[in-house]
Amino acid sequence: MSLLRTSIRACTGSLPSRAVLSPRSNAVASYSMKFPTLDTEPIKETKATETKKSTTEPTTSTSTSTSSDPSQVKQVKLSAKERAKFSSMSIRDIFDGFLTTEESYDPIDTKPIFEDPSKFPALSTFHRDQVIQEVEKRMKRNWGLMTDDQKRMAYYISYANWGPRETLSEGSTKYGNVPPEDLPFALPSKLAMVNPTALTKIHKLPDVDLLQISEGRKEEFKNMTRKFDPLSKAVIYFALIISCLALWRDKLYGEEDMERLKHELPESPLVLAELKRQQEYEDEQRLIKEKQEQEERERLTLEEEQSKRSSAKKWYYLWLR
Amino acid sequence: MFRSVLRTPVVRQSLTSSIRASTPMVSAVKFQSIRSFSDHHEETFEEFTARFKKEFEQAYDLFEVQRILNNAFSYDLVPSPEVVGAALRASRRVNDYATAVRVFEGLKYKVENAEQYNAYLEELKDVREELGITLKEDLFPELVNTPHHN
Repeated sequence: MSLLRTSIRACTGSLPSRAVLSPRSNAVASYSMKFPTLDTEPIKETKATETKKSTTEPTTSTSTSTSSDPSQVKQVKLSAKERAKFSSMSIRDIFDGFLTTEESYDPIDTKPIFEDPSKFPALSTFHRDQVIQEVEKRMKRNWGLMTDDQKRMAYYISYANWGPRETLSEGSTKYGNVPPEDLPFALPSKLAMVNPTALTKIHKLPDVDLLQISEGRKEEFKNMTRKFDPLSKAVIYFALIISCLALWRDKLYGEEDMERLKHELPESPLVLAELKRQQEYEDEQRLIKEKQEQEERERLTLEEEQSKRSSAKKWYYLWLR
Repeated sequence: MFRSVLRTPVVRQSLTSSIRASTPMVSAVKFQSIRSFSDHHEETFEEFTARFKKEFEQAYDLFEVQRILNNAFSYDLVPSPEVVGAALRASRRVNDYATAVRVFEGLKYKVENAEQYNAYLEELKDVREELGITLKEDLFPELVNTPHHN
């Protein structure tokens, strides 16, 4: 709680930077600036009156001093009611930039985006999707009827340097006034022959490593394939060893405990009741099983007897014939 | 039962005779590997054109079209107008306008000079007009005066 109070004070203390604070936090600041005057001034006044006034009125309370100033009374009531509210608001203001995102999910007017596609990467994911869907919908129809803005937008979405293509230099000038870097052949192209025949043999060019075609991508690749430094490695291996040891120890500890608990009676009546119930259930199951086995045995002996009898009869019957 | 059949003299004799007869033939046949992974068949221009035309015609989504495009442009030849036309029609089929524009952009850098590029544009004029494809340099007019990059 004290931490919260200090944070509120820190917030209210930063009044001069007014432009950074939101209007809501300004309001909080103005209110909290009044709090010290409310808390301290009446007391000072009473002390002053105590010294000035005669001993006939020695106990001039704060209530009398506050009642003399109606505006201050109003402020005291307000502070009591809304202190918690304002403190929570100020806390919210402090963490506003870190925790919340003011992303709206209302469709926007896409006309300015179509006019200037370079605004597209700055949009939120939701609005990007909105633009992409519009373009895709349009691309499914006749391309001849597409406007230049729509065509530019389609090209920008697919091949301009934003998102995964951000590290390509294409589009770093206006809309890519440089050769594309992700071509599968090296520039400049040199022609070996002008008129190939049907039987001219062709060959594959050496592969271009698209992961390292530009400086930006090289940097990304380096970061991607960077190995751990020895210290990090040591920490990771140490953590792994400790985890393995802990697991092993935990397993052993658990086993020992189970062995020990088998011979100890728990003290909790709930656990005892549970054990009793379990015992009763096990006994019941055992009895049922024994009964079933007994029945099975009886049935088998009966069947044996019957088979003996029937075979005898059969033999007898055969003998008779 | 099978063993007993083999043990019968007639069958045994016939089998051994057939093996003996076939042995010289086996030795005469040259060994040929079934899997010829390391056998680099050199493709001709005609085969290349036919293969990529077929691949573009069979491409069923944008990823496939882009993959085939990358492959088609990674040989030591500029794909023939037939292949480029097939690529444009494949882009139309998967409804991706940007890839159609990109085909011409790739072509621009694949050829050696502006004349060759113009020759390709002339050859593909009909397809381009039919599909309504605008070139990148027309879409972004600030690039009109830039020289041919290659």
